[in-house]
Amino acid sequence: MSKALERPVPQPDADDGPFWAAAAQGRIVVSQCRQCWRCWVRPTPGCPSCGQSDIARIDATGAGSLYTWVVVNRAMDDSFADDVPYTIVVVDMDEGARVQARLTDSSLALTAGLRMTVTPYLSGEWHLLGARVRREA
Amino acid sequence: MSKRPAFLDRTAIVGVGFSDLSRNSGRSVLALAADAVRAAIADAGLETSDIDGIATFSWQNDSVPAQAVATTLGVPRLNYILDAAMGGQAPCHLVAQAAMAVEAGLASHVVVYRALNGRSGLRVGRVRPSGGASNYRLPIGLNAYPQVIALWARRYMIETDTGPEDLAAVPLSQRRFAADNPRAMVTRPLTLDSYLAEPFVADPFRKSDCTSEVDGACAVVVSAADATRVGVGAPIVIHSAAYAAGPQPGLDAADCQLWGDYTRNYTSHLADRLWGWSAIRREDLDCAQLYDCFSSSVLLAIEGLGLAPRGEAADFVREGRLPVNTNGGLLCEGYLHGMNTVAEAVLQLQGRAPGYQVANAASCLVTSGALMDGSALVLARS
Repeated sequence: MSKALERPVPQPDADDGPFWAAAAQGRIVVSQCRQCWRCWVRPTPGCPSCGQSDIARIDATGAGSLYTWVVVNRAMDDSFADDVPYTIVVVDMDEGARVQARLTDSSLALTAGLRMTVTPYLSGEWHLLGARVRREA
Repeated sequence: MSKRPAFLDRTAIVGVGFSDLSRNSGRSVLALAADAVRAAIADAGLETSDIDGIATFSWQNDSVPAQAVATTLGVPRLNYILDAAMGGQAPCHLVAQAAMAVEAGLASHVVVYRALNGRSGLRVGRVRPSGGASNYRLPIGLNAYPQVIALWARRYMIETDTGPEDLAAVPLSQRRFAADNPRAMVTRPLTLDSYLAEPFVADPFRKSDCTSEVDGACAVVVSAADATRVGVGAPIVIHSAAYAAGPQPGLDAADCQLWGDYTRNYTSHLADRLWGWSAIRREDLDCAQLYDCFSSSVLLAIEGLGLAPRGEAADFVREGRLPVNTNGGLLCEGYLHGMNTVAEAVLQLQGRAPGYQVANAASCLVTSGALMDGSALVLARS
């Protein structure tokens, strides 16, 4: 099933270039509305909750809770054929932003509400969004 | 409740047409579109020269524009056109748009079609869309709709304490209907055991939870309910119609990072308007055709539209409280992105379903879409 097809990589635009630049430094930078304090991940020129355009960028702690997940057993994109099975998680970060991430440590069983850590992981030349179950100290 | 739209009850679907459905058509999308549109016009008892409006939709440029179909069929003029860059949210919405155009006097007879080589050509699961929020899905391997909607299905199962046998209720029911439908792509018998034995595609989805990609086209004709014509079937009146995008519907059709509740989709947001404008009540329905790219979207629609209480949609399907997706649905008939879902509703109400026929069906609910936005119709025999 392996093929020469290259994996899709981020194609940052003027809105989300800074997000990917921060990820390359190991940081998850989320947008935060200066009016209603809503936080979200994919940068947009307006707040999805209130629409105003005064938006801050803050560093997220990466801590969050598992909302849902899917185990990909069959690659739809052939460039992922060697990865299956793999898991995509949806994590609600403590700042309030919901994020989709690749599960980077599959050694623990998943349940809704499980505490997670979201952190960039290196894939080729890109730092992408990864997540693992948080091991509480 | 806002004022009831004027086009309701005054417009109708008057004809239905299909091309052949196959896994490898060997034909152009334009040829498939032309076949379905020609068939729908003839079915409506109209001439090509009667058609003065065309509406269609495509996803990632997988189809042909309305003007190409007009040219191919020799339509003498168009007074109304709509090319929507939409997926499965579109069919009911475009029928309503066509009806509005007719009611407003912009056009007399509008064809609505969907055409694609969905299996042999551009496969929806294999396309790499760009822009929107795709940077946040594709590189990590969240590449295709079965995976995205599986995220919703799992959360639904968690919150409603339902399991794989509940998801299975949808394909089990629809496969039985498909056995009677000569157009269906997937007809082999399915049992709960054989379902549970299938490997996962995108856990919790197995193969039978997923639509069957197909090459083909489907079209309907929308006209005034009292239009003069001699069609094969009775006019099927557009009795209620609604589109909804819930709050923060995302930057593209698969972007659900901003959506708050994966257990409730657009159907929860349009139900009040759809039923508020409808004299046909939920409990009066004779059948429903609910968009089913994946099994779970049927469950969310049943609950979103109030056909069953929360967490009971699978029981609703299992017990056959209402015939749902009587052609086998998109799961079995094939993925014409829900245009065939509308067509099945019309054929049921005209008493000429290709397979299972609901006795004396007079009203049918139809939905289009599975995620943040979508549309719905209540159709009725006049």
